[in-house]
Amino acid sequence: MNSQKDTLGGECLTDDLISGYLEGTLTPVVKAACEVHLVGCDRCRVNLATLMRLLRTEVGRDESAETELAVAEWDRRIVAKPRRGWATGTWKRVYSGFGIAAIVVLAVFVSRLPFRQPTAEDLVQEYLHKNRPFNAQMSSQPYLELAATRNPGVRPSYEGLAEEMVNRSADAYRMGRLHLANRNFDSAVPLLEKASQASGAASEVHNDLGVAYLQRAQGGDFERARREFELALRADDTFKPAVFNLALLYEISGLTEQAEHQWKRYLELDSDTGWAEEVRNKLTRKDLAR
Amino acid sequence: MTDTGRFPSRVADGEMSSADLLRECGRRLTDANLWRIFHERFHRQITLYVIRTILMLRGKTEPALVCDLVQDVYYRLLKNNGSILSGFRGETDFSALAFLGRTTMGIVSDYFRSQQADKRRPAEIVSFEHARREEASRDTPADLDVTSILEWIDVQRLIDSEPDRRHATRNVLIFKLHYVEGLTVREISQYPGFHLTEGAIEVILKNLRNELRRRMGR
Repeated sequence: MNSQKDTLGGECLTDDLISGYLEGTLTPVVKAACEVHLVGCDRCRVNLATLMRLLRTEVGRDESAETELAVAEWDRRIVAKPRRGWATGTWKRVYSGFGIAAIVVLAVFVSRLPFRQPTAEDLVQEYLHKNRPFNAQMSSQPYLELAATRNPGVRPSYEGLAEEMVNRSADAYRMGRLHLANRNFDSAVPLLEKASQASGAASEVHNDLGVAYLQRAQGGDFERARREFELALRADDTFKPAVFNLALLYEISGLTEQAEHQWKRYLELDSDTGWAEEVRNKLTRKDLAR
Repeated sequence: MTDTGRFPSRVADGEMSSADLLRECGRRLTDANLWRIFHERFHRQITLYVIRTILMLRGKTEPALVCDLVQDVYYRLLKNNGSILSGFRGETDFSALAFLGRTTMGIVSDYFRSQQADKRRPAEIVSFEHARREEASRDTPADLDVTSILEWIDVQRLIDSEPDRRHATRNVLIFKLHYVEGLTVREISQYPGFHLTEGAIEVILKNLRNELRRRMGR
């Protein structure tokens, strides 16, 4: 088919050149060169014709009907059906906006599925799924028994993960979490402090910084840890890891009554996870000790 | 702005231009208000482009399939943190629509290509006799239509013979778009790049038809 291409052609036209040609935005010289190429190159001319058919402003009756059907199907799928009498233009727009937002959220969710490249947080979670580094509870940490993970052979390579985190442009918080999970507190603290300084830092950030202080346990760290756990609870008073860690901090500090109060508070928030079972065991031991 | 009445602007005074809207949506992926505007302005258009591409490639649409493919278009736009949106370089409404049209075409083509690949059975054995019959059936006289004749014509001579020297190449391109690619005069006249009315295109086609007839001795 491309019989004229060698004699008239040159390189094939890019998509931008083809749309520029149709739009009439090319300079006369480029336009003329495009025309010479389009006359000779069947492939580019087919691309041009296809784009012309696609973008044409006239909408046929069949096309219009099919578009209406597809839009209705879209609304049925994505948008919650408004109550009778509410289907005004404004409400349709609002619901459609929610629809798009849902797609954005879905896209973010899909991007975290295993068949996609794992995110920095996925790498931290992978590490935490195989290793419980200390008594305290990091944000979103899956439960593992402490004793069961003391075999260093099951740990993923920390150095390899840290490099992967850098490749995935992990932010200060994620990098701090990885160092914290590996008990590298001196590296974790400055990163988590940086993350916590952002305005409106989430409970998760304050909690993890508190854990880093608690575990580092240098001069004044317990007080810093308590402040961070309280900041986490100020942002969300049902944030379970912060309640857990506050109780642990009181326990370590010998403030038994406060600790017991916080452990019970924790059980009100969480009753059926491994963390809750661990708390129940602590309280039972305390009762026996009395 | 080169948008003409044929491709009227979709933007009211004071609103963000379509090109800026695409770029902003790419930069602020979670801004629901921005995406609401995107949806209002482009959702129906994307749906129409999906339908048109399906009709061009397969000839039959179903609302469920159209919706799936429209969703794939959104995924493509959002992919890699919206990089293709934020990297969009156009400035006009037309370039924004052309960009969405090309993206849509890519998605629908990929879909049908992957479907074809799934259908293709590995190591399918065809007899020589069957292959010969298939080959013979392709050479039916119906296939030897005007398209084949036009492919055979020496395009350079056609251009040389065009009385309108200044626009000779453009006119032959229009001739080929009409007779080889099957675009109607109305469809061609819609595009500002040709800068021609339907009547002017009719005249170009008539002149070139006459020239061909003259050369073929009729």
